[in-house]
Amino acid sequence: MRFDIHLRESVRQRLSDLSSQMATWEEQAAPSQDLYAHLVQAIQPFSHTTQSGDLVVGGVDGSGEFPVVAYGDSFVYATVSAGTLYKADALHGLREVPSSVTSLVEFTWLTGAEQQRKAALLESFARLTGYSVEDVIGGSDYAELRGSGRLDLRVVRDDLIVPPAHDAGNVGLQLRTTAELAAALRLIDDAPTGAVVLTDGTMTLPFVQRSRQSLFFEHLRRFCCVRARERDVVFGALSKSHGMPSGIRLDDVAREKLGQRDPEHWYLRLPDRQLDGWSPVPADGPRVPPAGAVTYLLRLHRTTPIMRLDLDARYWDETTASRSNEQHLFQNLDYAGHDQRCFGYPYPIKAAHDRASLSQQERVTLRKQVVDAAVGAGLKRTLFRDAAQATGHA
Amino acid sequence: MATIEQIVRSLEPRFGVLAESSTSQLNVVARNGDVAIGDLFLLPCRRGPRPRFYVFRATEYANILNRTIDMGDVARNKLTMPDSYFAEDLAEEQLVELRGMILGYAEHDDISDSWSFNRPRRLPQHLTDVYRVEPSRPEAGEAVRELLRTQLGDRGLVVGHLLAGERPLMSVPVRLPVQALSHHIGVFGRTGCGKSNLIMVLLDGVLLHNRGTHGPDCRDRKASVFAIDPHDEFRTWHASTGGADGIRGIVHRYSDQELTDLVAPFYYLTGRDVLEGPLEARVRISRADVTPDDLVSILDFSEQQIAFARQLFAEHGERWIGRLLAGDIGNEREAGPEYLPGTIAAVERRLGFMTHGNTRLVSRFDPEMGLQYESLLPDILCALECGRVLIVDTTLLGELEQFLLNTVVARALFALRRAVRLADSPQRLRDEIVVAFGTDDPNGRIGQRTLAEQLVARLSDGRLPYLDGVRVRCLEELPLVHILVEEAPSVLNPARMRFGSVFRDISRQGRKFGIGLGVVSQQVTEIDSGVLTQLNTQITMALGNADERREAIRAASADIGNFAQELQVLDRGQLLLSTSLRDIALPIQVPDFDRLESDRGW
Repeated sequence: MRFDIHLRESVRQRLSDLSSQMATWEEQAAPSQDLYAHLVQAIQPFSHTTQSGDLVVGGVDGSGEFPVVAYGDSFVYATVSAGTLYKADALHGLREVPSSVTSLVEFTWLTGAEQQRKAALLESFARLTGYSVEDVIGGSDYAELRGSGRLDLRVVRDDLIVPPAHDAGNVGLQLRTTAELAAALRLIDDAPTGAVVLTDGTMTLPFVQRSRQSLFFEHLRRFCCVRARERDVVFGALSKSHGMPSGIRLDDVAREKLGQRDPEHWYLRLPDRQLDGWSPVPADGPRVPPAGAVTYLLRLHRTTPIMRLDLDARYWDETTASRSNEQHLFQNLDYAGHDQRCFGYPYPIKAAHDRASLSQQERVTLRKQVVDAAVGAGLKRTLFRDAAQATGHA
Repeated sequence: MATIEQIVRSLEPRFGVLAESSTSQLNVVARNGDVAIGDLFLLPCRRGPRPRFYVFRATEYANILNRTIDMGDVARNKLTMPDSYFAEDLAEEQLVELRGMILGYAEHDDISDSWSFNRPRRLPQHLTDVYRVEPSRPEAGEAVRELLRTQLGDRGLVVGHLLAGERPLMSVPVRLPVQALSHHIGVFGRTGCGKSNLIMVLLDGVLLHNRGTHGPDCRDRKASVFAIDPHDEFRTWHASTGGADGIRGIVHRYSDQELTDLVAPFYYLTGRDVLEGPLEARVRISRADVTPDDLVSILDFSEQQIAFARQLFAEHGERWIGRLLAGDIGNEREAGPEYLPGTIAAVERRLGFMTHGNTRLVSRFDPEMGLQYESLLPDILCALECGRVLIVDTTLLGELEQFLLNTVVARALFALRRAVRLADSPQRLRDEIVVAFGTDDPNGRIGQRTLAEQLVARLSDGRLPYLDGVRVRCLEELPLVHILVEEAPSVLNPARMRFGSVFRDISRQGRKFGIGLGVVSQQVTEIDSGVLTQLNTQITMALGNADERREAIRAASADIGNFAQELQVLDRGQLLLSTSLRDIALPIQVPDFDRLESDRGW
């Protein structure tokens, strides 16, 4: 060990203080009696589902190497996403069905020049989605949710946020999310009516409350919702963490409601403070449900965590907002979560994740491929020397 | 010759993709399939200036799930989760990972338009496609044959067919160069592993080779084999139960001229008095053929006993056994060390198996008593020098008689070959033969005078083919001779291989005289390490336990360490051939001799 930070008295004292603060916060965040009663009331059970006649369920996920290569002020980002589509099957539980959606792979070259960067990023978005940026913006209902009225596509396009080339966190987030939603969009276009298409994450629209600037994937997310409505496909975003205040012991609530020691197979629709008059989310907390969405908390199996499912609010209004429809939806999700590889989590998302994720070896190989191609095109190999590695920082 | 593209087409579809690799070991991720240790794979590669194919054998398989982190978790889920399933993916989720060794690589030479095989000194490319050699596809076998041509041999004795997994590639025969017979060969395998069938196939190969050399224009050397047959099976093989006939069946198909030139005077020697057919003979040697060194090679003797036996031989020569067994050693003894009665009695006891009535092999010899020299040994030696396969039925002989016969033949042949090497004229050769058998008249040493005279007589009448007119043939013109030592641990164990054993010299020097030993044993550990290191060719079949396998790996002339797992699963008739005459060891399926015969339409 080169440092003694674990042993320093000051460090240990700081950790102790922090822990006390966390514990105090937990106590303060405990729900009121009313809220607790509301939550108990809201929790609904559904049955363990071992048969699901005609269910078709798809999943998407994405990853990448952000960046895969850096040289000078230029960065090359590699983005990967995958979509899968399965049909309920008596023999295999779920059987994958052929779809036109294959893995999407995109390389994006961004430099310090703003014009090049914007053009390159938007080109990548277009290639991933198969639609022009304008078509996605124009086809989505994002502007309606924002309340900005009539759209000037060019203005919205110009106002899209393009991070600096070196801002790997934000560039990576945009590329990965766009790639995931692009795969979802293709699945929605490909899947039969009534199919469920799930992405990994939420339906949050971070900039929807602003009057100008937006992120491309916000438009794309809503474009997916529009396309799903048109095709009568259930489009949802499933997050493995529910994001509720830690003081709310949802397990206790479910235990009281269902009378089980380890409650499972339940869901709870998160109320909207405006519509329902109550919400477990603090008033100064994140906007849950997100604009244009309905949020459920659910638990499929006792060994998997409580998850969050966001659905398009308009589609929900039209087709899901009844107890029996909710039951049907969650039973289908339960059935889709009975694969041995990820019991309690819908397998199509896991399958997509497996196909999209890159191992360390694959990342290294990808980098070599990019560098080899660049050298083949006339660039010098020394240009790509990893500075961190060369100086012992990696 | 086929191009890399043509060969790839003959192997398609792709089986897997190379993951990690070193120059000796590869990891491949492959499609889920019914796979077996020993499967053979080809990896096309264009890393160097010339196209290459790496040849790779699987030594280990593992089921893996594509991307699933822990198979254990999946298994636990399957066991404990209610109503769980395993979804079927289009993109295969259930894969296999295989590890194995690179045998080497074949590189295409544009000038000669051929593939030459190299040891694994170079790496294949990253993520190279991997193609499985499917034994049921002849075109895949053709590809392997072309790539491994230099390792498989295009001439020589067919040992069997290259194994790919559990099945042989029938279009890929593996041959042992005939020259290997003049080197030492180890054949190791537990009982029931198919050793007899292997030897039968090899004997058949030698006969086929000799038949190929028959003719005025052919300059190839003939080969001779002296094969002890403890179960009397090589002559008729399975003919009595409806299977193929053995050597008898083969020689019966020979023409009269071929019988004269390739088989006569005999191919089958037996301890039985009643012979069943032509070209068979009653095997017999004389007490005059046996030296103390022969006995030391097959029996435990103390230093004192050896010294006594040698002194007796020096005094009485070829009559030493008769004198000792008759108790007639006292009166004529020359000055020399006195031996205790116990020592004399002990040697006498050890020679007990040769007393009249106790042996069907060794005839008495005492011309003064009217017991003349009765021995087939000179004719056996002549036959071996003419390129003959001799099988010796020892079912009626005792174990010691069997070992003695082997020893006497090996020692006498070795002595003859040394004499040939020393001689530069016919007369010198005659003298050297006499000296080689211990006869030294000026110094009053009798030695094996009668045997020497018999051999010189045969030299003169041409039965012993050492003379070409007035020229002494060189050893390279004589047949390659191979002497199979069955149950080798009995004579080639460390205790027996001390100074004095005839096999000690043959194992070290036989090669330069064109005499090879075939060390046939169920155990490797029991064989003297000095002999093991002299084995140029090792044929390893299924062995009884891990110790034997370890020793077999240690002793092999080529590195077969990577075949350790494969040795564990060798089936009947399967073997690993490693020889210093080839770069790589090869796993082989020996053909069933019964089927071999029927495949030829006989």
